[in-house]
Amino acid sequence: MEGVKPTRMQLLEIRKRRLLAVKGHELLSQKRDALISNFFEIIKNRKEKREEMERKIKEAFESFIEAEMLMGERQVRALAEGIKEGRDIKAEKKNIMGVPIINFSIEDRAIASYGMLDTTSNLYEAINRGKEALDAIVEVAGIEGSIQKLGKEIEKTKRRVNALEHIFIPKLEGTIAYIERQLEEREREDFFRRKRMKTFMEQHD
Amino acid sequence: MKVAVIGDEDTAALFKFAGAGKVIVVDGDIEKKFDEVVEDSEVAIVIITERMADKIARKIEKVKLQRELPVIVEIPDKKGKMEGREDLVEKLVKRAVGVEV
Repeated sequence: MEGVKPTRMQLLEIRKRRLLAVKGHELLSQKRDALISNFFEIIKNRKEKREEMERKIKEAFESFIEAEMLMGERQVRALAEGIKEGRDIKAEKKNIMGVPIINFSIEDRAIASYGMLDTTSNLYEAINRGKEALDAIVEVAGIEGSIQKLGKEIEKTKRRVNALEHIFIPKLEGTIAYIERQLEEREREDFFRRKRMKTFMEQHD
Repeated sequence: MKVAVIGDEDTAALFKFAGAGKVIVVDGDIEKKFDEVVEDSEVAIVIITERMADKIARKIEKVKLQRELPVIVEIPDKKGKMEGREDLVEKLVKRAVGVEV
């Protein structure tokens, strides 16, 4: 117990710190539990959204391959290469009651118009399906990004809860016990000293 | 910001039409191309096909653990969803909570 002065003042001080640590531990445990229950919620949501996304991608590829067969792969790819700009996307980071969330929003704009394509409706339909698939992917990206952030936050909170529970609080309790022992010891010594003084005085009266 | 796609020619063409700002057809070194895309501060989402992702799985896992952006999403290609592959997001979940979901 280096650096600890076994005084009553110090004892009160450390008891106060222990109380604070216990309170902090309680709050952090609550935060951890809230984060975890949120986590399960978002994971369930991810599963649904991913299935939807996979279905949309499959549909988009089906009509895209069909369009390629009808128009020729090379022509379709050349058209794709001719496109200069993509749809703009915004990333928004939020913190809802201590839960970190990332959300993407993609500009709703048609990249290729029917006239510009000057071609069969097959490709046009494939492009629309592709656009829907991309929208679904962007939504999944927000969910998966949030899961990553949330996972890290949970790990961090768990580490802090564990440190309080297994290191910080036991250490404070150890110090409290030490000071209490020292104080008791001193009291006993004082008691004997006074007793001896008393007998000494009585004998010399 | 924009969406980037790493995949085969059909995946690249389809998502170019759909509005991805940057598409990369990989035939050689996937990891090098992937690094370039991840370092591009204009890229918010990287879409990569499962087939290609499997070749650089460790790299992707590292990026997912270390970076907030870009978010990497693995998708099936025209041949469909690959069965029995490791889901990196699930792996992350297991790590955080310590249980399988």
